Amino acid sequence: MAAKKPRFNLAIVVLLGAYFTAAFVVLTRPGAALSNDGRPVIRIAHWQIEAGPREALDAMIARYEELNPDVRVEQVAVPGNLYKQWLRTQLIGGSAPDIIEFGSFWGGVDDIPPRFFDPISRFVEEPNPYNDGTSLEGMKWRDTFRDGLNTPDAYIENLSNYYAVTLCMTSMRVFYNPSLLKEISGSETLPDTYREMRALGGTLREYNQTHDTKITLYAGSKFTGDALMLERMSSYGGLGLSFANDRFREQGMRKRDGALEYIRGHWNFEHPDMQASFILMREMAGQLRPGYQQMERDAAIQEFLRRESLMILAGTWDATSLRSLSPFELEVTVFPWPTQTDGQLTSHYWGPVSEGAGTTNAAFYLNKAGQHKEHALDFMRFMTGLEGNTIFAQTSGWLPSVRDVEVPDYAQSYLPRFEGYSVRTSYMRGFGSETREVWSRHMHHLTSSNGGVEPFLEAFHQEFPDALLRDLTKDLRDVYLSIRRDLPPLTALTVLDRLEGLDSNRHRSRLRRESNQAITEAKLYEAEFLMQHGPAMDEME
Amino acid sequence: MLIVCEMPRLIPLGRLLCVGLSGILSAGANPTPEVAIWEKLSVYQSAVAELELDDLPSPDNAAEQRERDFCAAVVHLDQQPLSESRLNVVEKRFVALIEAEDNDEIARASRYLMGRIAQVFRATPDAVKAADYFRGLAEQPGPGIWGEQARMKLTLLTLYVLPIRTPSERLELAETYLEAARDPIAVRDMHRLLARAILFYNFPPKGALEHLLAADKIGGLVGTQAASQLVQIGELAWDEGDEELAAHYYERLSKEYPRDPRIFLMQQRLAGEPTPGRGEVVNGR
Repeated sequence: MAAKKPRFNLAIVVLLGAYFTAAFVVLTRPGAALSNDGRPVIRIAHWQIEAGPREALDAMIARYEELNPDVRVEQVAVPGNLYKQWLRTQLIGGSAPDIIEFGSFWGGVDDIPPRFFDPISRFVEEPNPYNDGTSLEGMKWRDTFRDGLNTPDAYIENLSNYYAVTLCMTSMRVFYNPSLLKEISGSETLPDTYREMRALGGTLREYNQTHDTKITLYAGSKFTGDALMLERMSSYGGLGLSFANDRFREQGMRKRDGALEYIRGHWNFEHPDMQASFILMREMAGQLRPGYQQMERDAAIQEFLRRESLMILAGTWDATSLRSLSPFELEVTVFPWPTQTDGQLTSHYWGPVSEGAGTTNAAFYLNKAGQHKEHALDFMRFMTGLEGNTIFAQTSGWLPSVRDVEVPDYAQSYLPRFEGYSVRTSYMRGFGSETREVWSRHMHHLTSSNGGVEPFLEAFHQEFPDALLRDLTKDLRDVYLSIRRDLPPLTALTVLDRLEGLDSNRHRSRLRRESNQAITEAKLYEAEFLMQHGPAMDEME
Repeated sequence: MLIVCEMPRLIPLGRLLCVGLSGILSAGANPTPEVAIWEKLSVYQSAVAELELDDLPSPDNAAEQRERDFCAAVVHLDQQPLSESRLNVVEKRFVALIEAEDNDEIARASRYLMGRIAQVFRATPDAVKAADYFRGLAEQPGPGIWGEQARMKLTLLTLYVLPIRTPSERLELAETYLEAARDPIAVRDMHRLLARAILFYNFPPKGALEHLLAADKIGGLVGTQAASQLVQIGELAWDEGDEELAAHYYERLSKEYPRDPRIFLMQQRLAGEPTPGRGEVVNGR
């Protein structure tokens, strides 16, 4: 016993020594949150773990620290599948970073901005000092963004305030393998019409037969399959139908209007436009590998990089990863979606289709509980100033969010195409989770080799109408919740004007929200009216 | 300081002047302790508001107590979980405020909120009861914005919910509320509601065009709503065969919202290209 005691003590001493050494190194390393060099440390959290953004942030941080040697900045990159839970835990625990990427599109997170983020409205109305001496000097900070920060994540309508600044723009593009394309078709350039794209599919089939290969036209995964067929082929093919039922003259049916016109009996999936779209979707599914619906997005990227497919439809957020991982030179272009001139089955495809108004993405917010908010705000100004955003764009390969930041030649093709028809109805994914689930469950009837349009519609029709009603019911329940939630804040704004005197911004904001609410309630009641009366309402005087 | 704001139909400048004067006069008053609570409520922080409400010093007089009671009722309405029993408690608080003084601004706000509770908060909405509150406010002059707000909600219930025999009777009755409205913004929004209802019930779209043109004349819309209204007028004018009017509104869309992709359709039309069109089912009876 006596001989063992010194060994035990020695082990404790060694362990304690190792612990304190490690703690010292961790806590005092450059940029550490508990750095003892006296400099405030700003932490910025995001989920952009693709190749590009992390390196770009490092480069921005390096330049910022050069300009501001009294401040340290650290980035915290958390994978997207963990980010939402991680962020909520950090915010509630009071240990969240100073600058936080956040997106309302996650759903169920509307409570976060008012609870945890500071509004930045008064700051975005002032010039960004990091733009001094540039073409953007003197311009309001918000006007220096390509979209004027006119995006729901930057300006939160319900809170009547700007809350975030954005870092980039994104779009969907087709990335292809020109050398493989040449080997198969004799040309290094991807067809620029859908007619030729269909012909390329035929050429590829012959190539596979003669060379005993299994190269696919499109890299397959649930993500790419949905992006190609559900989000685009069906929606674009239904554009004419959407215009035909454009009751409120807004250039197409919005989500709930589409559901109501269906209940009213004014369109259905037997419509020739939808039937033709289904045939083209089935044809397209045959150009993806079997079982693609069970594959993750990464599997499609691997398939493409292994030269097992000619092209992949991907977001430009994957562009830098694709370029850096690809063992071959790749090219990128806009996918040639069908137009009326593309022959059989495409006469109802109106084109071109707009890719939207070019809003900016990757919104970063200021943590209300941050210890160094002035410094955090300063870094937000830097990363969205002309120099900072240029560093971001050049290093990440992503599109910039700030005006006058040069877009490199290779990224010109990423710029969203603005001109074209606006698609407002997503027939397969747009009505809600219940109908989406019916689509997902029966999609194999349409896409499998022994399936077809008729078996699909037969199975689909048995469930779609009830699922649509369930989606509508849920949708209306959410509208009620939203109206209830807005009543106390709107009352508060009115009372504040009475107690404090008129604040013109507050007054304008309330009027705008009340006007929006009136239309929201009209839409709610239209849906309830139609759910009660159905097609019979068209007989009413 | 309360200013009577059941205004006659004023031009926007006059209206702003009135609101501004009200603000200047009120600004002179000492801020009440409830201001911080209302500020929390205005940004959806009702749980924090409830905690801070408990910590406020007791009011010194009946007027301050009334402000406090009203604030407490609204804070309580905003707490979770929302249950019928909570709504009953809130209603009792509003009723007490109304019984003490039935037409000052707090009473009118309480009556409006009781209407909203019946309309949208109850598990089974009671549109008739809600309409009674709204009608009472709309017909009785008094301070604040509540009369115009109530008329707007009454118009909505009339157009879609109240037991009225036919859609045309709904529209006729709603038109009378529009005629009674005085606040230009309320008038504008009622024009917009009537236009929407005409299209929903599939009456001739020309009536909707007239209402939207009237709404546009008043102005003041911004953002998506404003852009969509320009598109709606342009499209309705096109359907009516008034290409000049349609072109004018699309020119405004191009100028005021140059990034709106819907500009493309009119460009195609003007270039003589084929474009998708509306079906017979939405072109009126």
